[in-house]
Amino acid sequence: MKGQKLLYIFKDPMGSIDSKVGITGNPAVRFGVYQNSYSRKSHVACFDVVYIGPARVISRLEQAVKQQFNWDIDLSGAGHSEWISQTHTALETAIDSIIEEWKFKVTKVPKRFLPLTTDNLKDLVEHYTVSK
Amino acid sequence: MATMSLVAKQARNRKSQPYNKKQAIIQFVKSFKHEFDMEDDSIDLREMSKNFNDGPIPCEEIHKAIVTVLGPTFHNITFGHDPSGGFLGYASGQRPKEYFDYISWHDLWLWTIFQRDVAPNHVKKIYFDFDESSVIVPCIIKITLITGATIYCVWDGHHTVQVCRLKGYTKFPAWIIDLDQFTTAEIENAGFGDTDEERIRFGCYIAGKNMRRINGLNKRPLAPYDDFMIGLETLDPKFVAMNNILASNGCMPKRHASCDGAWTQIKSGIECYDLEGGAGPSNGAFWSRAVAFQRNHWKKGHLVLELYRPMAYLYAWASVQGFNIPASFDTELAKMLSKAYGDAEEVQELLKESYWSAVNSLTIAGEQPQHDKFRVLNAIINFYKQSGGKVMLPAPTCQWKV
Repeated sequence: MKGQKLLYIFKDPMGSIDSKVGITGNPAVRFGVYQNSYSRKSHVACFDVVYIGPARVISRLEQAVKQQFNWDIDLSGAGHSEWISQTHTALETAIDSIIEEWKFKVTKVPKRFLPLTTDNLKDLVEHYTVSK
Repeated sequence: MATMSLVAKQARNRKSQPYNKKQAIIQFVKSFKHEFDMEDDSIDLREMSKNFNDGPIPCEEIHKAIVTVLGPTFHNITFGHDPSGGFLGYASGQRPKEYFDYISWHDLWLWTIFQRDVAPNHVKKIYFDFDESSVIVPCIIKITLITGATIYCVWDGHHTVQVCRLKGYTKFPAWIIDLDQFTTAEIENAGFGDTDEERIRFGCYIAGKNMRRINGLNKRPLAPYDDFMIGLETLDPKFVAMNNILASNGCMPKRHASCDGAWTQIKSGIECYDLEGGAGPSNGAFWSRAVAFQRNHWKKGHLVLELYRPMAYLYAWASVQGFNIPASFDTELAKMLSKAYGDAEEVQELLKESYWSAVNSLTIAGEQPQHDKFRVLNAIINFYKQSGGKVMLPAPTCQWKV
């Protein structure tokens, strides 16, 4: 994962249609942050869709996504939570299209690694460390 | 007791609620049919005006947008001060401290302690661009000297005054601060004594402080974007042509690269538009092709300066050297670049990195360019040739393995 980052999407575990888009270079820590908000018995923190690529490119991809969904991002509440009022599948389709049109050189993580959790994170890291 | 405790909690919550500027901006913008950007350094008034039939916007609406960005400190400020009777204070039976008048040439003076040197070339520049309707009223302080003589000293607009003199004016419009109308108490409250010398020092202090405020501390130079947009909307032929080139490629001038097709580097775009080829001025032909080069192959994203500028120079170099690069080259090169590097921003980043890597490892031959546009241009030529490209291009000025 050195020099690489993930862009992830996950759906609201509480059931609204909203989804979260974010980037991280340290998914284990990020899972910990999300998991802190609810018990693992209720919901295991996970990423439903994941893209991997060089940190700089992933950052620009995130910028492009937030640019496109600018007015759908809810910034209310403490910490500017930044949930997007879109389903995770709609976002996935939109991000696929953004990647194609901008020609971002990132890789969509195959479904066999999804949803990504702390349980299968090691497999993903190994896969991309070796294949890199 | 339970009730009291609840009330106390609510009060605490209310107090700790922070101002969420981003959310306030979203709510404000959503009250309009047409959305527009609001940032600390700019509110996109051109987009905002689409809510007013592309025409004038009431200043009150802009004021509301400004205070939304500035936050609660600027909310609920009293709105009821009418300064038209004299905003520096007015004593009954006396002339206001400030007023408009026309001053004769021989009454005009310049006191260097609160004015800068004069620039003849700036006077010349204004002279050749002079228009009666563009004279901004100079600011002047009226001072009665110890000798009893009255002089009118310019503290802002001296170059304008000199241009008007060149144009033959004998009287000059002036916004005057009249030092004689200040009371001794007012002067003493500002930290000066009650002698005539102190009164004059106070006048110089006001003029000097205001001169620095206006020309230094609070000066907001015209941004290239604003200059371009005003030129465009007032039908400057060059800017209209540039905008047509942008529009035909799905682009538009923007202050920030905040949307698809945004073009933000105004001066560099003008530089590309002005490039000359073998047959003289290109009138934007090279820039137009360079913009199309990016937009035809990277369908989304803002215009990337160090992609379109080196490409405009590439076309210009070829033209100066007496040959044209075929259109098929653009498609071939774009495919090679996007396959190797990805998005347009990454293309120029990695080409520049390749250059610096060669410089640092001493594996570069030839003259090293001093500007990124020529580093990327050389990188593109080297990259194309090393990737097996067959189209004739101008020779690079330096070579390395990209």
